[in-house]
Amino acid sequence: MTMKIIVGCKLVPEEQDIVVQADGSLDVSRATPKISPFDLNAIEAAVEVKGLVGEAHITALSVGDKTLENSKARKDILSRGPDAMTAVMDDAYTHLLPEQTAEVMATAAREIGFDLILCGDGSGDLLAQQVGTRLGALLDVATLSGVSKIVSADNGKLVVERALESEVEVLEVTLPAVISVSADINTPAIPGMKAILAAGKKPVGTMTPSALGVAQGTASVELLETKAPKQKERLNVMIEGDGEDQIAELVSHLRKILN
Amino acid sequence: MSKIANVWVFSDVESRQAEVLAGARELGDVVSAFVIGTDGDVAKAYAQGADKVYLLGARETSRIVEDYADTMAKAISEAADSALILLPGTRCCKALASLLGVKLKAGVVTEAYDVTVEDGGVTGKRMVYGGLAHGQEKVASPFAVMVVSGGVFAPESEDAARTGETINVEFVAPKAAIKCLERQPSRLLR
Repeated sequence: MTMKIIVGCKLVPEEQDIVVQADGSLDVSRATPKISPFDLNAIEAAVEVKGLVGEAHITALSVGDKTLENSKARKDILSRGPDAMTAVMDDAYTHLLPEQTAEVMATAAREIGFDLILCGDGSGDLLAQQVGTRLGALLDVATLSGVSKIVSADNGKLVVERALESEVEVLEVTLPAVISVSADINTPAIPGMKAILAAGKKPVGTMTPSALGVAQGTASVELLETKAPKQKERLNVMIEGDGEDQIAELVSHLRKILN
Repeated sequence: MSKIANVWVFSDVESRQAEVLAGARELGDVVSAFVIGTDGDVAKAYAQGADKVYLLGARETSRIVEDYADTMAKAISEAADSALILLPGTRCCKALASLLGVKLKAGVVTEAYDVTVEDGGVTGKRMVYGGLAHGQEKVASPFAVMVVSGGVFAPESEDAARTGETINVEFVAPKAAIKCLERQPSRLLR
């Protein structure tokens, strides 16, 4: 039996391209979209599970605005191992909050069908670390976050490890399940030329909220503002030399700041 | 700053319990703590500031912390129509926050470095875009879940004479439980 795997994949703005404006607000309009770093780990984990079970089909699931039409980003996702991609797009999905993203993903996942959903622990932009767990709760299936190792996988069960603050848990998860992986679970492979060329031929399906029948409800959290902190003025204190006195001077400056 | 009538706290890591209890006392009137463990753990929660303890039973090694989400959600929703749930930013508490978010239809703010209560509403501040900016999020739902970073609240000094009402809570088994096969010492501690 073919295991149906969905891997959550968010496109986030490249941090280096984000412009901080004079009032501290962020301009992300010129930032290149990239796969959220944690999701690269999730894709790699999906490929790993596929390797363990033998027969599996991986669908990359993305929720967002028109950015998802970016063919380079689509190819980047598909070159990393997914067999197909489904994009749920809407203009209103530019700044979706975690609970809304989870709601859309849950509806789409039911439509696609799944045995296992893999997500990154958080996204590169908001890092709310909620979507995977909320998705599991909405779908009413077993859900785990912070998974740091996949020990074994077969069609009905997964044995995984997750590192807590003071211990490592070895856990048995009965499928269907939603699993969020931590950044240290693997090192995402860099796709080869063959994979990049093959990516262009893989199927990409699109879904709209109306076709899915998902209405955007009132969010329980309101993002009031996102602002870069004001840059502190440099004190321009220069200490030259590396003798005892200079070290003492440096320490006294540090003390002043700390107190 | 106004106060929230009811605040619940929980920490799966012992060392983080005192700070969330101190935070709960600062933000709320009645502070309830969920405790998994022994009578000694219950006494500790009172000493650190809890007014009530919801005892979830003894620690079961095969159970993961998130399996208590249904039990906690039921206990909270039966006791109050609105509340703040304050959790430390541990791996399990972050997951618990999202589960409670769905089960209590609650707004969740994770990794908050500042929590304020105004006009009965809870606002949290957190870093976004990899630390490039500060985000300010206000919870609009009756139940609010705040996951706070370490050091946001300073623990109060313990008072071993403090005590309160202990409520024994019956475990509500989740539909899809996860079985813990083994617990290994952390690789960082090995």
